[in-house]
Amino acid sequence: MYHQNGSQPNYPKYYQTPNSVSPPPLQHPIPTHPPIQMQEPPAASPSPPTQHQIQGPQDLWAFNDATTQMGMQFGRTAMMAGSEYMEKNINRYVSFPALKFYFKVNNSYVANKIRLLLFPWRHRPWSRLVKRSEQNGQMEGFKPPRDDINSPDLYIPAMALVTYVLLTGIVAGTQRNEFHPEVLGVNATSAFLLMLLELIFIKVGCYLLNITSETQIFDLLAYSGYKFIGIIVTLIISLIAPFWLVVGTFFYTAFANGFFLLRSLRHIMLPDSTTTVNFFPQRKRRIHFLFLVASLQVVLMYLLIK
Amino acid sequence: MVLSIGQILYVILLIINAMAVLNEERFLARIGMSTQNESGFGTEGPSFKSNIINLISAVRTLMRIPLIAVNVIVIIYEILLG
Repeated sequence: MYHQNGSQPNYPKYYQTPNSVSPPPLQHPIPTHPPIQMQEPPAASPSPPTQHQIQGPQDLWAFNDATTQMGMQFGRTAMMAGSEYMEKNINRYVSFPALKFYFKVNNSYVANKIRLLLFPWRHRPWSRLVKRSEQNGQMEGFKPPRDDINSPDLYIPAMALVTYVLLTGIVAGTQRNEFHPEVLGVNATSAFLLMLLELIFIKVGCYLLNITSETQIFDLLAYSGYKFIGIIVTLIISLIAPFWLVVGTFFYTAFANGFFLLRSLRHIMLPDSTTTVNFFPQRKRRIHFLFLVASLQVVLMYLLIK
Repeated sequence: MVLSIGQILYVILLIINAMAVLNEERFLARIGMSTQNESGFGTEGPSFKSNIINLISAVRTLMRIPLIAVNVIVIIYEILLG
């Protein structure tokens, strides 16, 4: 115990020469005796604080460092656990590896895809390339968009959606002179919700028609997002061209997009339809549904441009 | 075209309400969409009609209790703030 008679208290060795041997307490994740010894004196003698503070700074530092160290370690483990938990939970709802697949694009893919979206008439073939494993040549998924122009991606829809929202702001400002920051938010919400409704429609249709291909929902999201390319072209035209040209562009892009969807969704809804003609009992209904989805694009694009 | 999240939620709620309100004996059985008279299984899997029947009966069983709560909340909200 410490006393106030000025004699050297029997501190542990590293407290007397804190500069030379101070690291050991720092390294301790859990402070052992020194902090406990420090906390005892006030309880034992009622008036040591002054004396204690005179020779105290080093002690306090050591004490603080040990505590800080422990706190830091504790915080780090807590954060690690927290981020791990977050990742696990996010991965349950949205699988990031699957999402990354849709962003593996390069410049030539994006340019070719936009060209394909605007001029889909002469393109061939439309089937996606299959990725085979190196060892046994078994199919293990599709090639990423980088290697295959027919693969759906999410990069173009995401960028096109942002561009669309900004363009509607420009159109509202220049043509009708009623720009307000709210316009951007309202348009973004409408576009999102229309895509959501289309997705629900296609999903319900697939359920009712027993289309149980292992199609990801991201595929459908990508296909429904491609229509923004046509919308952007029409909006840009509407900024600089007379009305009849705008109408012409709108119908052209809408039909191009519908044609593109017809061809792309065909191998989702009617897989291998050339070889097994009568295999699908609901073939006729499925074709009707396909046409419905494709012609729905015209309506949706009109609603989005208006 | 202006859509808001509230509208979409109302639309979804009303559609689910419309599916849940269909009565089994009085309506569905009369138009031949009851779950009881399941016609013989074909070789080509469930048909379009049986899928609809399944969907309706699933909604009716599953959503009954939640729908009561959600409808009450929406009605109170509409009365107070609508």
